[in-house]
Amino acid sequence: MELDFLFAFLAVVCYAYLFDVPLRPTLIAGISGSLAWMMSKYWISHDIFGTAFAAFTIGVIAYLFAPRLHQPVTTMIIPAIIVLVPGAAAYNALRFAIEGNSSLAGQGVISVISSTLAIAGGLSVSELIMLRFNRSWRTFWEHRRQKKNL
Amino acid sequence: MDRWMERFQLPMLAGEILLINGAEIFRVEQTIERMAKALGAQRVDVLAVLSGIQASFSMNQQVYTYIRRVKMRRTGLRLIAQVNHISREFCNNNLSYDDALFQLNELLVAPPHSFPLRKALASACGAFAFSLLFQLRMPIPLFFATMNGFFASLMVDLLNKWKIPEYLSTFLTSFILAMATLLYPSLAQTAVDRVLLAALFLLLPGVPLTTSIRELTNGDLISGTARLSEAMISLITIAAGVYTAFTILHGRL
Repeated sequence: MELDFLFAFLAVVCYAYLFDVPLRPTLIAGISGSLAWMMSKYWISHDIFGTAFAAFTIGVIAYLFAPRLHQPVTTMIIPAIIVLVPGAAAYNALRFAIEGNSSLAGQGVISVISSTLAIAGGLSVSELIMLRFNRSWRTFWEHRRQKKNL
Repeated sequence: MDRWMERFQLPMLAGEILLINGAEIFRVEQTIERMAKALGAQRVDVLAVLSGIQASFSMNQQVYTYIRRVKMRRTGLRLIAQVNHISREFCNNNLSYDDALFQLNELLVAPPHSFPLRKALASACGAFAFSLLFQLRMPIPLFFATMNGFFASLMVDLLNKWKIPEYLSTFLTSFILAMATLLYPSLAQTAVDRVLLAALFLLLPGVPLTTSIRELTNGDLISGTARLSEAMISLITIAAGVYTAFTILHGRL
């Protein structure tokens, strides 16, 4: 189980290379992606909630580091959510569908839809929170600097 | 022709590069809006969809309208970061108009980032990591999964080079991968799915699926729906390829 952290990191870094992400965002995405994997698989037992919270974590980390590294958040979010996206579930659902097992296929489709929605929801919530956080952080430090200069 | 007609091409160029390299729609619209405002436009209206950008800029009681059609799309996040940087510097007046135009034009013709062999190695490594994540711990299936990842990337690159249409190339790649996986010797029935899946992750549209939902919730209804249907079509294409292979080699299942 602990090794999974490393494997998820490796997967995210490889896909980040395929997506042509610069080095520092790659490392951040690797760490947040492996955290997300551990969360969704082991640390949170509820399936959908785990995925949503993992996506939320990815978003928070990306928005935290984006202004500090001067990189768009996309470069950290897209490689990191590779470990969360329901590719396997989508594939399984399609396989059941072509094998004619429609009840299992329906279940698969529902699980694909719900985990996609969970990822999107987690990312949106993190965006809502972190945009405000970054803005107030910036104004806080500007105030401090102005006070010092006076 | 007045000079503004020419100058407003700069934000359009930035938006075009972003869209080609797979940025989200709201980023494209935001970048165009900011750069046009920095140029001095009083009102900016941008409508970006997956296959093109329309924008009109108002300036001194004149309206300038542009349309850019985008046909090619790929994922190149480094270029998105660079356009982001150029746009930020330009809006902060640290970069002149001519320099920005020059740098953007260079980005537009920038070649794909890496050699096929290196990409194939990265894909093989990714397939290896994913099959480990899918709890595949035996050496032989792991080796086959890694091979699958390697050849999947090479095949996609080769078919792209031959200008094969995208969906046909997805079909062919998934078909050949499934055939190969079924033909590998001494592969247990239970491992077949995971060996195949680790390599198919390269083709499966997981990220577009998630991005489409994010865009739909953001209010970009047209591009969200377009991306969703694109993801659906490529999923169905992959399923068709795998199904064809499984039907042909039915005896082995």
